[in-house]
Amino acid sequence: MASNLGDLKVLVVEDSPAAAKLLQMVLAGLGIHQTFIARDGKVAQDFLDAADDLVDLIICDWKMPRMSGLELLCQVRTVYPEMPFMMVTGNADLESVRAAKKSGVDAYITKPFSARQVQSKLLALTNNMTNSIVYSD
Amino acid sequence: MFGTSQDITESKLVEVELQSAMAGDRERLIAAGMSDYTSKPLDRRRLIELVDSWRPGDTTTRETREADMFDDGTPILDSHVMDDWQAFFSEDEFIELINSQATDARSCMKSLKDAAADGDFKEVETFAHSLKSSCGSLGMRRVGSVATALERACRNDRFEEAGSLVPKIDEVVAAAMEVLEERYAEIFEAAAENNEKMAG
Repeated sequence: MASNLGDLKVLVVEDSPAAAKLLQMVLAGLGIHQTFIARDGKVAQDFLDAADDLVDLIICDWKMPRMSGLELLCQVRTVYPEMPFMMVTGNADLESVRAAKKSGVDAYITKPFSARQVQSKLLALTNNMTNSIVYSD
Repeated sequence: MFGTSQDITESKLVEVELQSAMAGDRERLIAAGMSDYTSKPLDRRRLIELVDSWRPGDTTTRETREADMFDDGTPILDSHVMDDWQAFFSEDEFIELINSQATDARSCMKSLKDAAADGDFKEVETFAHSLKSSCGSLGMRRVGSVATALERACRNDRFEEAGSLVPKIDEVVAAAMEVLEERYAEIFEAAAENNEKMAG
C-alpha cells in the first residue's frame, strides 16, 4: 500500500462516464494521477487478473451491468483479501450499507459525494486507520 | 425528528430544520401551523432568501420563492455543493465538471424519456439512477428527489406512478439546467473569450 495519496494506483469501477470522469478529476485534484477506469465489475476483474500489481485500491460503484460492485467486492475479497475497497454508490439505504459491510467493504460513500469525503476516506485507508467502515452521506 | 425550533420574527415565523427532508414534509409542516421550513444541509443562499421573504411588507421575494421551490422545499441548485467544487477545482476544471455532468444529465434524460415511451421501466430505473448521480454532483437536489422517487416506483413495479413522474423529472432537469446556466454564465463567457484570444 502506498504511504501517501500521490503514490496511490487506483482502479475506478464505474459504468457512468460522467461519474467516472468526476472521480478521476477529484483524484487528480488530490494528487492521484495513476487511475484506471473499468466500466463494470467484469472488466475490473479481468484487469485485476492480468495486472493486480497496478492496483493499490479500488473505488467502485454498486449498480453496474454484467457484474455489480457487490459481486466484484465478493470476488476481490476471495482473491485479494487485503485490497482496500471503497464503495461509492447512490444506494444510501442501511440495508445496502450492511450488505457491503458484510461482504468486507473498507469504506462507503453515498453519491453525490464531495471531494472532502473522498479525501478523508482515502487518508483513513492509506493510514490503515479504519478497522470498520464509516458511513458517509 | 426536529433539530431546532425558534421564533425569529414578530409574525411568529417558525423555522424548522430537519435532519433529512422527506417528500411532503413542507406541506405537512405548513398544514400543522409552521410558516416555512428549510432542510439540512443548510444552503446559505436559500436561508437568506427565505428569511428575507418573511420581512414585513416584502411580498415580491416570497412570490418568487414560492415559484422557485419544489413541492417539498428542495432547492433547484444547492449552492453549497457548487461552492465546494468551485473551491476545490481550478476554473477550467470547474467548467469541465459542469460540462461533463450536464452533458451526461441531458443524455440520460433523453434516454429515460425514450425508455418510458417504449414502456421499458427497467431502463427508466437505470437512467433515473444515473440522473441522480450526475445531477446530484451538480447540486441539483430537486432532480435527485424526483429521480429517487422515480427509481423506487420502477423498482416496485408501480408503473403508473413512474409514468406520471417522467414529465416531472423532465421539467425539473430543464429548470435545474436553466438555473445552472444562469448562475455560471459569466464564468462560461469569460472562458469562451479566453479560448478565442488563445485561438486568435
